[in-house]
Amino acid sequence: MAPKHSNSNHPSKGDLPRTWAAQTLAFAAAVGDTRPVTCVGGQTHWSLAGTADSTADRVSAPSGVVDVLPEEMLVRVGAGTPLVELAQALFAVGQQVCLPQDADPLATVGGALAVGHGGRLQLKLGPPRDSVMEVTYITAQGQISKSGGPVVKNVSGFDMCRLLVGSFGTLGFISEVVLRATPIPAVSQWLVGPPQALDPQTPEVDQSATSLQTLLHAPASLLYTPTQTYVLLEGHAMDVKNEATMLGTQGFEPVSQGPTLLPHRISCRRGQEYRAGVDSGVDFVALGGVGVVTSTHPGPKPRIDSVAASLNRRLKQHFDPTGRMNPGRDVLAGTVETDSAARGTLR
Amino acid sequence: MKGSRHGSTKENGENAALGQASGHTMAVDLLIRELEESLGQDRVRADRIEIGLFSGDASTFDLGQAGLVCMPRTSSEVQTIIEACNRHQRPFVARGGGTGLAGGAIPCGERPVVIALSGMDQILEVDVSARLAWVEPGVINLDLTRHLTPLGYHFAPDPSSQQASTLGGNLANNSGGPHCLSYGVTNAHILAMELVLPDGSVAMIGQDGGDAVGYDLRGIVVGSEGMLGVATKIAVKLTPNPPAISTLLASFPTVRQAASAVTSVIANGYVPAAIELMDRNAVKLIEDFVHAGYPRDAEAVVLLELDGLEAGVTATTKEVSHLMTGAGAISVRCAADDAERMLLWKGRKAAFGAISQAQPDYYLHDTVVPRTRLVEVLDEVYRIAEKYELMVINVFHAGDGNLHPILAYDAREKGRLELVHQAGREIVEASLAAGGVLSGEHGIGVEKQAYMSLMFSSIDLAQQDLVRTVFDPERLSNPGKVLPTGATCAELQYMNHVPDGVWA
Ligand SMILES: Cc1cc2nc3c(=O)[nH]c(=O)nc-3n(C[C@H](O)[C@H](O)[C@H](O)COP(=O)(O)OP(=O)(O)OC[C@H]3O[C@@H](n4cnc5c(N)ncnc54)[C@H](O)[C@@H]3O)c2cc1C
Repeated sequence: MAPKHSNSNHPSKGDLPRTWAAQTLAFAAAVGDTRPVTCVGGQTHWSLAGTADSTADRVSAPSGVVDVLPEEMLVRVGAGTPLVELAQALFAVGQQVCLPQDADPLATVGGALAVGHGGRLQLKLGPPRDSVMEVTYITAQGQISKSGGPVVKNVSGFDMCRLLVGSFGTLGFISEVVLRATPIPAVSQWLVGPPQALDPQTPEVDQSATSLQTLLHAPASLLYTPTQTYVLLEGHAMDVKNEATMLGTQGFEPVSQGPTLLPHRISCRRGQEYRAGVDSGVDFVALGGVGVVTSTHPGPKPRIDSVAASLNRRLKQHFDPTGRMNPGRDVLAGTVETDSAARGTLR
Repeated sequence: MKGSRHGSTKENGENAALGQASGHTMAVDLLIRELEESLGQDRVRADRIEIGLFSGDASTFDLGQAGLVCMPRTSSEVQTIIEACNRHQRPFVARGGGTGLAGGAIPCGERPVVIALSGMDQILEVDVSARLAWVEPGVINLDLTRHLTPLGYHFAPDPSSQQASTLGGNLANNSGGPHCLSYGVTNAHILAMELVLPDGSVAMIGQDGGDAVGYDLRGIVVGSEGMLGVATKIAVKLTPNPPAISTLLASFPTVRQAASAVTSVIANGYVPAAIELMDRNAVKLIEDFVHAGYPRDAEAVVLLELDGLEAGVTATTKEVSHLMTGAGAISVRCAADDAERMLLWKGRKAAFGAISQAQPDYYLHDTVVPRTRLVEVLDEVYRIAEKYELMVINVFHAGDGNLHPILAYDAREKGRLELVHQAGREIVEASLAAGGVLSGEHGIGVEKQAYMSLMFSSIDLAQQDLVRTVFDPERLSNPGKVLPTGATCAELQYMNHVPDGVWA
């Protein structure tokens, strides 16, 4: 389905909402209320959060950019829409959303939200969870439910958007979302320079990362590999030029692209990404400033507070008492629970 | 509601607190004794003054009646209080600065225990390399920013109440402020927290970096108005101070033109740090109050701030000024220095205080509408105010579409508050009809509970109620708020004051 602002042969403005409502209803009917059901996106992250039960029914969320609202900096989109299609629709109006930019062509909006991982621009745009303003989803009882609203600011009741992002479809299936969009900057420039270094005095802190962040006002992306540091500068041409010149004195030079993120993700404290990458002992691309290292091999199991883990289980039991939504998937799969005594690890 | 059927209960504060209703006396005394043993007598209060002070907040609602006020200093003391509340099946409510405008901190239910967190006001850690700080919930918003200023950072959410509201309250209400237009509201600035759950267990939720592990519990707790537990330690993001700032003041011959100028700035792809709109009434009151230098002859002024790196800010200042002029601005002035910039902001931040010159009381509304519908909803707001012969003052976060119509009145005039509430309801309905939402930053509390079903279906509300059930099956944490299902605060208070034995 084409966005409203386009001149394609798709349904006219008046017809679109009705057509769209019918698609949502059809999706809810397909999800039903009894049989185990798996929601399928582009299957680009299929191996995460447990193993999908192959015997369950399979459904896919409606696909299509429903409404591009550049003057609101919002976009309404079906969860089954490929990320690439959404990016193109937004590109046409000079905007972007904070979902992974370098995605596999098959990857869908709903899939990206169900996984919840940020892409290379997370430092600038924030994690995907921050951009979801409204969500329409199908509950385990096959009902259509909504949370949030088509505005940029909202504190009206408990915000179900937050729970659904990163839930791997285990609480409900996202049918449609309203996402916050931002303007694509006038100029974007990647630079590459020497790798980060660990200060022997304070090895827990990435010294050069700290100084890079102090040197630059708001880099759009900082990516560290074992041998290089990539910086993405964005904004007004003169500002980008000035910051690039400053980086030039530190051994940085322009490059056409930054590195692609690797398949496995390891979380660490913000500011310690390079150290965590080195500690992983394998090849890595770390997302500076956001606490994420991507690597060629799985890292240590992520830890979760045991009381928080039991809240996770209770949420699943209450939202999906029969365990029919995405059977086999478990947001706690592969995590390690820490007891209360170890709680001081965060703070 | 002021002077309503529950107004008289406050006079009986002390007696009610001590559980004069005979059947409860023993239980109340036991709870007080237990808590006094743990916290010390000076931090467990049930005297008339304290009960009176902690039974309301900055809203106009007068439904609350604290049973007891506790002043913990540590997380484990908060845990002790909540465990005791569980043993005695007593509701409790976390309280920060008490500046909430939707009645979120009003104690509801069976002689609730107020957990006053203002004494937990330590900044525990500032880690510039991680760009985060761990703070206690009673830290005042502006104190945190002041602490961070010499380091070159600030806490981005800047509610107009930032001199008095706490980080715990900001977290619970997902508060916003003028600069949330480009920086985002509180949810985007909370990384993790220690949360004492309503059953007294303690969970560490969120991360100090990286991807969420499990469901985003952090995200659902932010904005849940104290109904999912009490945050006792909070990890916040630090935002670097911008190297360049440009603050513009544009004056317009009509409010419509000012509102369409705002829409045009956003529609042209600019995301200023802040865009605030003030109408003629606001300008007059502000000028009389603080002399901020706003043009008195304007029907509306727009205060717009751009920040970032020097060249971008300079170029955007020119472009945005041009857009404003194109939209009909009579004048566009750029603050020449920091002093002038501060003065322009002083005017905006003093707006609520300035209202007292016009009327002794005011009711501040908070709805959000799509930015492109601002003009028509504002027209409707003026029409409603005229219909009820109320003075309306519009001072709001225009860039976000976040309306704040202020209805000024004198509560001593009979029937006036009722009119204010009727007008308020129509403003909410007009906002929803334009595709907007109930609240942008003040929350639902007791104020908009009854409106929830205007925005949500019974299915939506049942889903939200499930979250509450998961976190708080006993409904002890801040009962009677937000969700219209079950007993509302008014009903809980009413039941609370039914004489003993009636239900037997
Ligand atoms: C003049 C004025 C201007 C204002 N301007 C703005 C504005 O620009 N933007 C805006 O968003 N708001 C504004 N407000 C509203 C209010 O200041 C905010 O909602 C603020 O965040 C409340 O903080 P507080 O510490 O006063 O919380 P309180 O009023 O004490 O409590 C508010 C809610 O938070 C809960 N709570 C408090 N601490 C905790 C905790 N540690 N854990 C769990 N729950 C907790 C309470 O139970 C209650 O539900 C304004 C208010 C006034 C009076």
